[in-house]
Amino acid sequence: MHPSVSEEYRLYYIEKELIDWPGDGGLVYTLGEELLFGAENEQPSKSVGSGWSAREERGIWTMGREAVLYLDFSDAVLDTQTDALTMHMELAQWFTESVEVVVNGELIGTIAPSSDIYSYELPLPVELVQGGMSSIMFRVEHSMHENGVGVKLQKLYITENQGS
Amino acid sequence: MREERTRRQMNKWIKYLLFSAVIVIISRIFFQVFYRVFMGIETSLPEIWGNLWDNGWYKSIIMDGYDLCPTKHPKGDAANWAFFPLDSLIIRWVWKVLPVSLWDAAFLTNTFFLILAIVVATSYIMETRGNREIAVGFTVISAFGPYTLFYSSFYTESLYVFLTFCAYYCLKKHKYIAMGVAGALLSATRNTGVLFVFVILAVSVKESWDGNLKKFVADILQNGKLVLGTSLVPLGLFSYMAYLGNLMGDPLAFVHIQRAWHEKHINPIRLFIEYIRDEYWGARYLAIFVIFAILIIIYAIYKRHFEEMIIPIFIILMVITYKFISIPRYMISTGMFVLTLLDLIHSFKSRLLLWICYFLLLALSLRMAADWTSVAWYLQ
Repeated sequence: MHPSVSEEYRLYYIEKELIDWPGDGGLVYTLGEELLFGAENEQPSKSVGSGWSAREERGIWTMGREAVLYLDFSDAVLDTQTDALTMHMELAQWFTESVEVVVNGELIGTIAPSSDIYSYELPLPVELVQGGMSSIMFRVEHSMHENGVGVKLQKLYITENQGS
Repeated sequence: MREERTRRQMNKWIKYLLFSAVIVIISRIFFQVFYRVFMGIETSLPEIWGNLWDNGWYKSIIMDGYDLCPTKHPKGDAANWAFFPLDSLIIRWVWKVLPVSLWDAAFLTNTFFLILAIVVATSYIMETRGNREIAVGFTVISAFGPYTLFYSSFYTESLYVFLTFCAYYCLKKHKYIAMGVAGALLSATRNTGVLFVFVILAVSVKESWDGNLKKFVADILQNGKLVLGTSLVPLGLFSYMAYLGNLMGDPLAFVHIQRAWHEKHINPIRLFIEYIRDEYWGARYLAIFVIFAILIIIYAIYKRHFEEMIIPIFIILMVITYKFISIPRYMISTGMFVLTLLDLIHSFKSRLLLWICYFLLLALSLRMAADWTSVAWYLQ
């Protein structure tokens, strides 16, 4: 009875984790590809899982204490020569508490709130995403309901480490 | 003696068949004339009734088979797996064999099933109620009444009603293998068809339960034909699951694909208030229908026809927290819902009240036939 379906199908139809149907293979990520999350974007990323608000202009908000994205790194990891990647994120400036970024259950870093920086980078070990479909979780101590404000994710992309 | 009985039985079935065929043909001519004369629509009846809402899904199955992946709906997440195959397979066969258009093939096939459904329903009514008036009423309401347009389109309504009555009739007559075959075909027609196993259980309890569970189970298990017939019922569903598993990898795709239609559960009371406050009459009609359906179910249970309400109860429970749209159609297509409604209106002492009920049902049917051409969403 175990379905033999794509990871995208499993996440959208069976586990109901994804908000949008990305299509079979629709979450396959190519290094450097910029994922945009705002409603105004022509093709907003369909990697959005549970814990996020509906798309707003320029991004999506964390609603719960955990908000998840899904990306399939099988192609990206296959091509890369390095053992470390960098995750670049653009978050709205006004979040008020630290955000932990957890990839496939492993904490890769913490983003501290800042009044002037809104682009952040975190190292992403290749071995963490070698399994292919991966979850990227943004974890905060208080939900939007408790804190009155969440974290607004606008853009995310992953590159090979410079110099590698 | 036995030959005489068989001959009389045959004569009875032929009489039912001729009567239902005549009434159904007259009704189809009536609706064609209604569209031409009163609405100025020149299109043929099969094309009027076969061109809206889920008709497209069935057409896609008949013409191109089942989808390999979801691509339909604005979100691109819908596929035709939610629609069970048996009726579409038969229409496809008729379309290939007869020199007719796809619409005519669907119209002819499903109208034929409607006639058969009325024949078997008449036998069932005579067997369980012995009331000829209700049998005639069932024929008239099926041919002229509300939602009759679905019986002659691509929808599976008429085949489903036909097989439902076949299964109930065979169960009533203790012809368990025939019941199992009808049940298997029923579960290949719609996802709710498999629920007939619960009908068998309910009838078994009604007929054999004497308060001793051990004895009850032993009696059931000793009835080999009943066990075999019951185990045949899910065969249609299992065959479709095996097909889907082989085609696209998920045997439960017909369940999972529902995500493309239902986003989330809603409190049915909130939904009711929302519908009843809506300015559109179709929304208010749906809200009132849901209450009416619950009352009809209660009435059937009061009249000790609980086994006839099992599938309607499941349908109400499964759908009511998502939406009210389609509930009337689902209820009508159980066959038993219409039968209970007729039980109710034929219990009225006043003939005038009885005729008023029939008149209102016909008026509602004409309103629906007219609304169908203006893409009324409450008819989905």
